[in-house]
Amino acid sequence: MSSITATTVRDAAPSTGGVPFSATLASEWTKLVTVRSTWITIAIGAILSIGITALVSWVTGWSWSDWTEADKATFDPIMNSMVGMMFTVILFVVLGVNLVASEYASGMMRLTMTAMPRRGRVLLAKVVVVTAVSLVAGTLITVATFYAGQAIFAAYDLPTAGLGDGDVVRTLVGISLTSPVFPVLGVAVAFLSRSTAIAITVVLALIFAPAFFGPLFATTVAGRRAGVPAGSGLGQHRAFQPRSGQPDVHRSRPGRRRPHRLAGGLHRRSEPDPQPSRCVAGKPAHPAASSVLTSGVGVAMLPEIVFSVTTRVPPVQQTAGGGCDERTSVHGSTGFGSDLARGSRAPSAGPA
Amino acid sequence: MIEARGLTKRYGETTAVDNLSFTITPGIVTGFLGPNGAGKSTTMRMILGLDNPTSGSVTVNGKTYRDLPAPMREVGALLDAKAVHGGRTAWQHLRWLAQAGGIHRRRIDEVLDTVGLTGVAGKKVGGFSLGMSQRLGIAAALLGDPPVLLFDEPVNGLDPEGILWVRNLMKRLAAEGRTIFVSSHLMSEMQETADHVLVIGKGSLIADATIADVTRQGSGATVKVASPALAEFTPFLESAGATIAPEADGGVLVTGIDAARIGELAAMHRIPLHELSPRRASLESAFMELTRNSVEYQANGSRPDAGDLAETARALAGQEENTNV
Repeated sequence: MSSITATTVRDAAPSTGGVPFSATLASEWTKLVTVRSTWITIAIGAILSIGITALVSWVTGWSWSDWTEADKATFDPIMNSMVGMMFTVILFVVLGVNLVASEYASGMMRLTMTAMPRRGRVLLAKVVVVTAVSLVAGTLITVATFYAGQAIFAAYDLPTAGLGDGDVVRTLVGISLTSPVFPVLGVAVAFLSRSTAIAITVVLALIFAPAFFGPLFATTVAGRRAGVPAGSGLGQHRAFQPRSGQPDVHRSRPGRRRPHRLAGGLHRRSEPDPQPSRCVAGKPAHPAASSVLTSGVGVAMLPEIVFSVTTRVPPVQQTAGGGCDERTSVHGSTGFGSDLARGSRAPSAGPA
Repeated sequence: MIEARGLTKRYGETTAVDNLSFTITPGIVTGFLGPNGAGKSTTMRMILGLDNPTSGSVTVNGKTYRDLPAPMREVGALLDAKAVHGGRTAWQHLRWLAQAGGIHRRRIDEVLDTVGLTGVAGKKVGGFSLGMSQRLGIAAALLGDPPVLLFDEPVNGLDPEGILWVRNLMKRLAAEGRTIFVSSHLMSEMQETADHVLVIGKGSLIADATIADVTRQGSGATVKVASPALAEFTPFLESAGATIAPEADGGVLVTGIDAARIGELAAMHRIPLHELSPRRASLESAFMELTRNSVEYQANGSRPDAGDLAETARALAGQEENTNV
């Protein structure tokens, strides 16, 4: 056994000797930091993230007086300040794709491959450098976006969150750690497609399609499952559980205008609720989960699942209304951002 | 030292490179000639491990490229001078390349000096002229101070001074004992630079000979003859072993016997001559002649002996005669 191992190592030695991996890594690092597009991409990601969060936070503060008491009670200053991060995701995909596809476009990949003919090593080096850069940039952008949102919430006297609050650190760390997933997907798909346009399209489709199309499947499943007692299925979407101290505000006040989820549930406008007391049963819990089940694109759900795991805390109390949540039932997921925004409602919905 | 043995590359039905075998020796400049689509680039890509041969093999210093522990220190290559990221400076471009090849950064300034780009080291590559890009590509090839160098069309876009510089550089590198393999479509350039040429057409080796052989074969073999009594003279020439091809201006091109013999024949038979001029064929015309019928060669299945260019050319001439008839 040991002799086999020794032979293998000896045989492998000539092909791995000569140029160490650190040299390939240094080369890819130089490539990444010596082009302006890297910094422009990160800067646009930061500006969009902070800007969109600022805009949505401002609209939230501005429309706060129109919000129902229930919505005000469930307002989550943490996740509501993270809505802009969706744009960082897009820009990070571009960053990863560019690192590979631009070399194919210019023909420079031939030079890269003659300098280091072992392709797996070049791929690994690109993944490592893009992970490092996106982790650092992602963390900075996450924190900056968070504080941008908090500052605006504070200006409108809305509830705010600080690093001392229970879920803030966990949420920020979770989102920061997820940042490299997107550029790494970009690098991988760009290596396969060798084309910027194809790679960006494919990766964005992988990331966003389940969020867009998942709810369609979820509705179908919900229809089939009608009549099944709520709570016996995949579980309720925790983020929408009303506080235990204020069960079902809407139902107790029929005819009261109920909130409509828009733009990831952050901007709410009011509209009459036609069926205030009706409960649609058996909505599958989480759009991510239902998408995995119905579309089978498991890998694409990675970001959302990571978000779910890192930002969600059990357990959930069943409400007086039998665990049926009107809003969840009537309105499906409105996309990645909404999912993000819903992420950590549960903690804030703890016992008041 | 580059060695190819039965090197073949097929893309579906198309055979880009067909059973090439050659050895490129150190210490001389070896030219690689062939019309577009002849398989020059594919061959170079296979030498560099960028393409896998369908069959056969090619080694550099006894190893396939991908098995070289530090490829840039063994082989330098200029493939496409414009295949760079225009946003990097010349120095930055050479920096990542040096790092990728495990080469000390000191070499960057050395090669920039060698190619005369020191003054623009901090300038973005995107603004470089084709000539400057060629120099940068040559600098990149020289980074690892390799014993084997491959240049694909290195004089493209260079001004006369640049061409002279590349010519002398390649000769100097060869004199240092390196293996220099240069592809070009500029036959006249090869005539000035190369010591040895490989000629390929339609993926097959047509000639593997010294420059001297190629040009000697071309020169003296053809003589332009013009005479008012040509019809009378032709049988005498043919009986002396000449092959005659009519020219558009009414004269004929005679191959097989030299000008002196033609002159003697004319004097002997009292034929007035208006013109008797040996055509000193350039490498270019020899090349054109060699590659023109490479398709027929493959169809007939007769493969020329790689070393025997004279026979090759005669065979080609016969071939042409046949196809004309």
